[in-house]
Amino acid sequence: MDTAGADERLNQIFEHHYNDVLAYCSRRIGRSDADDVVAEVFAVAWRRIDQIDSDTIRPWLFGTARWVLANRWRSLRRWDRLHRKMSALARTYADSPEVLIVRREEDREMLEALSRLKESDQEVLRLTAWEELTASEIAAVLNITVSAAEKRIQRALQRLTNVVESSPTTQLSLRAAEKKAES
Amino acid sequence: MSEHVILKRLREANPVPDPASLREASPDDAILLTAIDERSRSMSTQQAPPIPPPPTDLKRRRPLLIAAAFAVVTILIGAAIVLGVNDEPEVVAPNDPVPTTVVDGVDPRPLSAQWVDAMNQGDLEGALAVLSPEASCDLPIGSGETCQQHLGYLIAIGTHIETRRCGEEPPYRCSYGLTSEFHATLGYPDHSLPATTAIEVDEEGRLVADFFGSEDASTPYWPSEGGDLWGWMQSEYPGMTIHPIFGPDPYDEAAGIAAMEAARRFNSPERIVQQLQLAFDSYASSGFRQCATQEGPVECAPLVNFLKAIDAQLGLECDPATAEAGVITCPLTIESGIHQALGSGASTSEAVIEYRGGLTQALQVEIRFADDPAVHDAFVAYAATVDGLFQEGELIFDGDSGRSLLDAARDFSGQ
Repeated sequence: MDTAGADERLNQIFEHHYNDVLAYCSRRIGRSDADDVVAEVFAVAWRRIDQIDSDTIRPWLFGTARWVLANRWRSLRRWDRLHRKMSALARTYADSPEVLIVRREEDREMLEALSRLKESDQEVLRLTAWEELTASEIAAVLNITVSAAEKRIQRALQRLTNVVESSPTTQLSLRAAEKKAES
Repeated sequence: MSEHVILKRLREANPVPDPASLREASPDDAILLTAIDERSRSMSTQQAPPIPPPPTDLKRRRPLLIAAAFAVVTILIGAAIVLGVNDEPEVVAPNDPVPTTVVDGVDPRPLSAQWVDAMNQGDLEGALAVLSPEASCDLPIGSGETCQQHLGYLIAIGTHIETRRCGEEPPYRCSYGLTSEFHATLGYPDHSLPATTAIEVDEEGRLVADFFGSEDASTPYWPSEGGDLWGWMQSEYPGMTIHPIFGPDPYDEAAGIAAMEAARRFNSPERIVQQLQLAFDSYASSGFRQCATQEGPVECAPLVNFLKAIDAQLGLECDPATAEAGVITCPLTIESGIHQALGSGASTSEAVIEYRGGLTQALQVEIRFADDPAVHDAFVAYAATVDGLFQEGELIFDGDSGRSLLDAARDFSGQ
C-alpha cells in the first residue's frame, strides 16, 4: 500500500475506532494517561497497516492496546510502589487503575472483587462486560481459540462469583443495590 | 448469587460507560493524527549499509547495529534500606495472599550472586528458591504472570547473566548484562533491556527484586524485524499463541523452547535460500532490504520491475552449506528477451545475499545481457547511445528502462 493509501486507511480506522480504543485504555489506565497509549496504539497500526485484517480491526486494536498498556502499566506500577513507600500511605486494595474512576460504592466493591482475580481473568471479564466483545472477538484480542476464550470467560466469571460470595461486605452491598433496584 | 447477576453488576461498574463522552475531552483529532503520523515517520528504520560494487566487500562489511541491545540489559539491584520499613504497609500484589516483610541491614549481594548462578546453570528451581514471592520478573514484552514463567522462558532461550558491578554499601545497586542465544541466533547480540531497580531481602532471607522492569517503557525489546519472526512462528507453530507484534503469549518455558527452535530454523541458510528462491520465482521484491547490481546500489522494487520488463528468467542455485557469517554467494543464470534478441544463451553470474535475523538484508546480482562478454559489452555501449537508458554513466534499472532496453536490443540485433 502506498503512503497516501496507508494514510487514508489509518484515518478511516481512527475515525471508526478511536472512541472504543480510548475507552478501552481509559478503563484500564485512567483518562489522563489514555491519550498517550491510544497514540501509541495508532502508531503501531500505522506501521502495520498492511497487516490489519479489515474484519478484525477492533480486536486487533484492543490486542495491541493490551500490550502497549502492559508496558505502560509496569512503569506506573513501579512509580506507584515508590510513591507508596515514600509516603507510607496505607494500601486500600489492589493496584488496579480502575480505582481511580469509581462512580459508586458498590461499583468500587465490584471492582475490588475483580482486582482480586488473576490479571488474565480480569481482562477476559473486562472485554466481556465493558468492551462487550463476543467470544470470537475476545479470542482475536487474546490470540487464543474461540473455544479457549469461551472457557476462560466461564471460568473467570465463576471465579469472580466465588470472590464476591466469599466477601460479606461486597455481597451485602450488592444485595442492597439489588433491593434498591427492585424497589 | 448467580453469575448472570455478577456479570450485570460488572457491566454497571464500567468506569467508562459512554466512550463518546471521552471524545469531548480529547485532543483535537487532527492534532492527534498529526502526532501519530509524526511519531510513525520519525521512527528509525533499519537500513543495511550501502553495498560496494565488488561482491567480496560484502563479507568484510561490519554488521548493522540494530537499535536497543538485548545483550546489555542493565539491571540495577539496590537494597533500599529504609529506617522503620517494618512499620510500613508492604506492597501487595492483587493475588498475593500474604504480605512480605522486608528486613533491614541484610546484604543482598550473595543472594543476587546465587540467583545469577542458578540462572546461568539453567536451574529454574534454584533461581526461584532464592526469590521472595514479592519479586517481580515481568518481562517488558508480554504476558505471563509469574517469575516461574518468565525465568523459565529466559533459561529456555539460553540467557546468560553477568554481574557487571555492585555497590559496596547500601543501597547495594548492582548492574547486570544479559545476552541470549536466541537473540544472537537472530543476529541481534546487542539487543538490550533498559536499567531497572530492585530492592531488598525479606524476612525469610529471599531476594525481593524488580527484575527486568523499567521506568522507560518506550525502550523496545524487539527490533522491528521481530514481527516477521512472530508472523512466521504463527504459521509454523500453530499450537502456540503468538501476538503478531509481541510474540509468545504467555512467555514461559514452553514458549522459550519453541522460540529458540524457531530462531534457529528462521535464520538457517536453508530457509533463507528457500525464501530467496520463492522471491525470485515470484519476482517479489519485498523480501529484500537493499539491492545492488554490478553498477552499484539500486532500489529493489525498480530492479524487480526491470527484470520483469526484459522478461528475465532467473536461475538461482544456492548451496546453504556455503553460507558463512550470514552471507551466501550463489551462481545465478539470467535468460531474458534481451538475450534472445542478441542471439545469446543464458548468461551466468552470481548473486551475493546477506541475511540476518532470517531476513534478506542485501542482495547483489550481476546482470549480464549475453553469455559472451564481448556481446554484452557491445550491446551496453550501443544502449549508452539511446536516450533515457543511462544516468551519469550508469544503466537505469527500472521498468521503463527495461522496456526501452528490450527495444534497443531488438534494434541492435537488426543492425
